[in-house]
Amino acid sequence: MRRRTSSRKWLRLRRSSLSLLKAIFSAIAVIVMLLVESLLAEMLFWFVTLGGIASLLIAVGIPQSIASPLAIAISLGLFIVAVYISYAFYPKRATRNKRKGEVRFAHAIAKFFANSRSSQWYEYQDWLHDILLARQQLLAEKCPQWQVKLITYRRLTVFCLVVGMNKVRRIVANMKRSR
Amino acid sequence: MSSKDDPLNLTLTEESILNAILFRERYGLEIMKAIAEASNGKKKIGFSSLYPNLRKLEQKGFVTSRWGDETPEENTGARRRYYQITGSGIAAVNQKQEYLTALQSLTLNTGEL
Repeated sequence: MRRRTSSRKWLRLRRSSLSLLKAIFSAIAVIVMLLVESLLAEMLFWFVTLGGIASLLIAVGIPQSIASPLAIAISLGLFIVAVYISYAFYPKRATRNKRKGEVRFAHAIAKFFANSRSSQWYEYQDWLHDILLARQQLLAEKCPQWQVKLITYRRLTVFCLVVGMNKVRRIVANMKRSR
Repeated sequence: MSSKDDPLNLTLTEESILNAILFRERYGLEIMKAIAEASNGKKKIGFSSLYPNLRKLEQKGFVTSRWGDETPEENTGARRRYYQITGSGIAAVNQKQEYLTALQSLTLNTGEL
């Protein structure tokens, strides 16, 4: 009798601790998502990040001529990580079964740029539109699916890089102007 | 006019884009296809070259654009954009053409000497 009650207690304890862990992790996920959606995407964040990294590098003793391009490279890396994180989190909401592969990636990119309310989205959304249109046309021409996937991923990555670099370049120009 | 905006300083890609939209407005993918078709596939412009060049041409005032009336792309909400050449764009193309013609005739005259 005692053994049964103790095992039941153990099971209850395990379940409750598991649900607690789950709640903690989901809270962390929400915080990360909020960070990605709001802070990370904001112009101010990029401004602070870029300036912060540059001044940190200069403080460490790296010459300014090296520190500035290094800061740009690091913030560009951060930008790619941000896009990747949003790519990993967004599909888990309502669109899990609707979009797959490269279309899911395109959706995440669109969401990222549209949420950041950046001028880049206004300027370059037709590029994204045409990438997906070209994908549809390739599929209609009976091009092998793996090839279409590869081409579309490459195009989307280049899109991210070019638009990201453009964004960084503008922030650097604004920083120079504010000096 | 700065040296960048000088029609004679148009790159081959910029010139190709302007010529592709000389008689009718086109959207990005259409421009790419028109250039590839006209050159029998010898001249191809990638996405990463086309759109930044279109932005540059727009800034120079050689091209204008308008959003298409089609429904936005279903997965991304991105819209199609049509590009149209402006008066100064046509003038730039003509000026470049005149320069090339003059250069060709000049070579002919020099050859005669």
